Amino acid sequence: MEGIERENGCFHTFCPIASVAWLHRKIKDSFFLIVGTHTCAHFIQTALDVMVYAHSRFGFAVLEESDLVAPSPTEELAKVVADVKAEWQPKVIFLLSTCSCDILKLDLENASKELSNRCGFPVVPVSTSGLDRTFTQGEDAVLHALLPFVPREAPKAEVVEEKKRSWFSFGKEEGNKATAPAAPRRNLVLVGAVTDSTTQQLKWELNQLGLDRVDVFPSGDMGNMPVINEQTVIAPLQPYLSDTLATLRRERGAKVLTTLLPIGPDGTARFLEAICAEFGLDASGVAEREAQTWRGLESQLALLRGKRIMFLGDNLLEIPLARFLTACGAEVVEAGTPYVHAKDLQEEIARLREKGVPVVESPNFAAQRERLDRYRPDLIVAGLGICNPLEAAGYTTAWSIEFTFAQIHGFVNAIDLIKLFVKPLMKRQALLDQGWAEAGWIS
Amino acid sequence: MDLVKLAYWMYEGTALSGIARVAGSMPKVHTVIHGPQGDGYINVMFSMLERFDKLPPFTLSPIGRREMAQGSRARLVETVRRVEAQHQPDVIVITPTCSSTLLQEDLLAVARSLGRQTKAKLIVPRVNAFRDLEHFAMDDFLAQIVAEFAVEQPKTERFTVNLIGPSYLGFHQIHDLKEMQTMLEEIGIGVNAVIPYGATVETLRSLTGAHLNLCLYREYGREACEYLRKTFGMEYLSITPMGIRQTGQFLRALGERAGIDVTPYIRQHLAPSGSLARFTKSVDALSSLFGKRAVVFGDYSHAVGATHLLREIGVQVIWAGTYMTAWKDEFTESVAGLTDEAFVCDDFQAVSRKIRDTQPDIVFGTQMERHSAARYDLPCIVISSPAHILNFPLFPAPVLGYRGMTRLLDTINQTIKLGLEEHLVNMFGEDTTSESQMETTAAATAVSTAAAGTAAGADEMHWDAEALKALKQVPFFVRGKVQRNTENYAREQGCSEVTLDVIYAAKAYFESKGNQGNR
Repeated sequence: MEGIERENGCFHTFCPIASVAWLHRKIKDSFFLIVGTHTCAHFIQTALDVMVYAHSRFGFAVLEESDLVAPSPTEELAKVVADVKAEWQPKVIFLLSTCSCDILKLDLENASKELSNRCGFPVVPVSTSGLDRTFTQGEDAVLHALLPFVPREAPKAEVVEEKKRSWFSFGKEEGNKATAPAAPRRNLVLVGAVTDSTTQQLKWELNQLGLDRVDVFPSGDMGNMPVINEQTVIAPLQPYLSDTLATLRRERGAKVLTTLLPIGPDGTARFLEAICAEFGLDASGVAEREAQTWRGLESQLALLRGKRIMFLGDNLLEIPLARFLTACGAEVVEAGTPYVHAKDLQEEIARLREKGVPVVESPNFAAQRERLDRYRPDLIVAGLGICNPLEAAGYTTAWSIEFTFAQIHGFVNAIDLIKLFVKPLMKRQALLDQGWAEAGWIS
Repeated sequence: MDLVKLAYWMYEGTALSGIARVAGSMPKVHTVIHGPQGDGYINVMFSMLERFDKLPPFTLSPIGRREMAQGSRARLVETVRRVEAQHQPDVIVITPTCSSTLLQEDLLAVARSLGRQTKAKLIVPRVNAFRDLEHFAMDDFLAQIVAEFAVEQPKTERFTVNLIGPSYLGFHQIHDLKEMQTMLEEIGIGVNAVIPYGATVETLRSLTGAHLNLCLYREYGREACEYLRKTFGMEYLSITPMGIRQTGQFLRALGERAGIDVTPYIRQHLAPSGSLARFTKSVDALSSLFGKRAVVFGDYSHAVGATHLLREIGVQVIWAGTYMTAWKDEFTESVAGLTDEAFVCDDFQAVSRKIRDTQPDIVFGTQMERHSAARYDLPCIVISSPAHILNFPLFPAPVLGYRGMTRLLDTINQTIKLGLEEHLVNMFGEDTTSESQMETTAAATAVSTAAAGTAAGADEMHWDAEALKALKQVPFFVRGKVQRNTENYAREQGCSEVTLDVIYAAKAYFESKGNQGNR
């Protein structure tokens, strides 16, 4: 896509299986079973800083050497699944594949079908191999795997009655026509695994605008996923859900809104306006709500204006975050990001282009380090593995992973979002004021 | 044989992490990791846990779809060349990972042909990255690089030793190293070399100048010692000096070889005036420690060491265990007579259940046991890897030697109830308010406030149903504060009822105000 530089080498990011760290908490009664090697298990416990949650609803089916010659993984996995079932009684098991599954060409699709039949609950295969995907795309893969559990029609008591009637009145066409349902109502579904309080806040904003019913996918409960069909309007909450969105367009005929993501007051306002436009609602209140939110951020904004900020690229949230920062008056010197889905993010990218923000897809870290010397940014947003060395080199950093785990959507959370950028800057200033300038590396 | 195995957590790291611990501990050695993107997590371990001020010396040579289809040789050659140009290391280690081992590519062949063109020495660890685990890989790789570089040297004039073991990401190993250096200096023995921590190629060449090798941890280093013994006739000691008996044993064996009388040093530390004896024999320790029931679980060295140490201060060890399952018999023998049961097992859940069923007074374990102990509301002290950032303290906190023991006693002292405190608690019961009680209280306050509703006095603020739901989502330990703040805000704004509208406005108001100060 025009305006996007492409390099070859964004390797300081996590593997997509790291998505379990929060998804197993979002989808209740689930168990995440990662089919992989010892390295996968060691990575996860290290990535979670050796077990934030020591006793959690995820585990590993660790491949042993003898599995390499096993004809089908089904029998081996059946034992593991039985153990999981006994210990946790899940309603669904997600079977997450890894690089080693790809290399060994393990057929987890078929194994999952067979295991679902035996267990009496769904065992869902999810492709989370690091060969194809990066960090947060693991969430896209899990949501995509959940789509078969999303109903096309709402279950209705009358429908059952109708069926009975039509059975008895077989051949009498007129009777059927008379009871044909009224034109189905369009529904709005917010798509993205965000916390319950974030969805509650977004629902509240939409209720204020006159939309009473707002559904959310994924729902915390497997048995209660929202209806998605041709009448559905999909409003994505995250920038990395392209597989899920593509399938909802293609297989459900749903309309996917392409607008700004509800991150920051600017993004949230455009997001709400786009929904209002779609549902014929009056959006005139949104501008005031946006202005009011910006006013609430004023003291933080003062600290961001004119600051040079660089994203090295990690969790795919970089594009909307860069857009929000430019709206705050900061200068984003580079928005590095592992991957850009140009179609879903076209509005976001257009904003960045207007402001002349360089977007670099799959940036090469060595080249970025040279650019760092040139840009001398006031703040670098980077992955966990490189922040400490950058701090030691005199830069100020923010951990990109914090944006993945924090609540950053909507007007109410705008203050939490902006603080993630402001806090490191304030910390730097505090250190400077308290005598650290003498060391020389901070100035 | 077990095929696919269910695991919740791994006690031991992988071969990759083992090789990285050795290579990453050595200056001017850079490691090229031949694996998929996620395997670059090694960088995070070094830069986060060890708080590296430089970029960790690891570069990923990534395997993606293209490499799977066309082979990864071209990519690997390009990466090695780039690493050499950028870092100019003495040695480049090219290591496979679990995943790339499955591709069965011949890394040795790449190293052999490329090695002629590089100034750096290229080394491929001879591990099966898929089968081997951390300590085995460390042991083997350490021996491999020692064999690569060690050459015959004249012995140093003074009696010197090599310290084998200290490395990054080990459990307090860098602190142990300082403690060992101090201790050796105090008894008049010099240190010739330390590996792998801080070792250069030059250090490896000079190894044979020492009179004796000291293998500090049972987990790795013995193979290198064996190599040096067979090839250069160097003797070695393999005792981890943890606790009174093992430290004494270590010192006496060392003194014998060096022709030094170590008795004054031992006496000085165990004398009634020394801190160890003053603590162990104090009346306070008598009531707070003697007869307490403990359990111990960890790697080999620290589990054996802690079992000794606990017995030496009068604590009962109900069972002691290790996850180093390959050394089951050796472990059982090492703790025989010190504990009722040796428990060798690498299944986190099984260890957790055993702790629950034992209900000890205190748990000594890894970070995983710390979590299990928290679930059962038991005190726990971490004595072994796998570790957490908490186990990388800034202040010297050794485990080995007498000072290491003193330090551990302090930790025990801070974790359990002290003598008189325990007496009082036993007599009158706990006086503290538990978290669950607090939660109930906070929830009850909120609910009663809501129930009081409109009928209540002017000071009572009504919460509508949605707002009440939002309040319940706030963690209980700050709920009371949030409730008070929100109600105050509502009053200031002249609202008679708390709705979501008010909650969110109040949140924005307080959050923005909170950031003005020195947060």
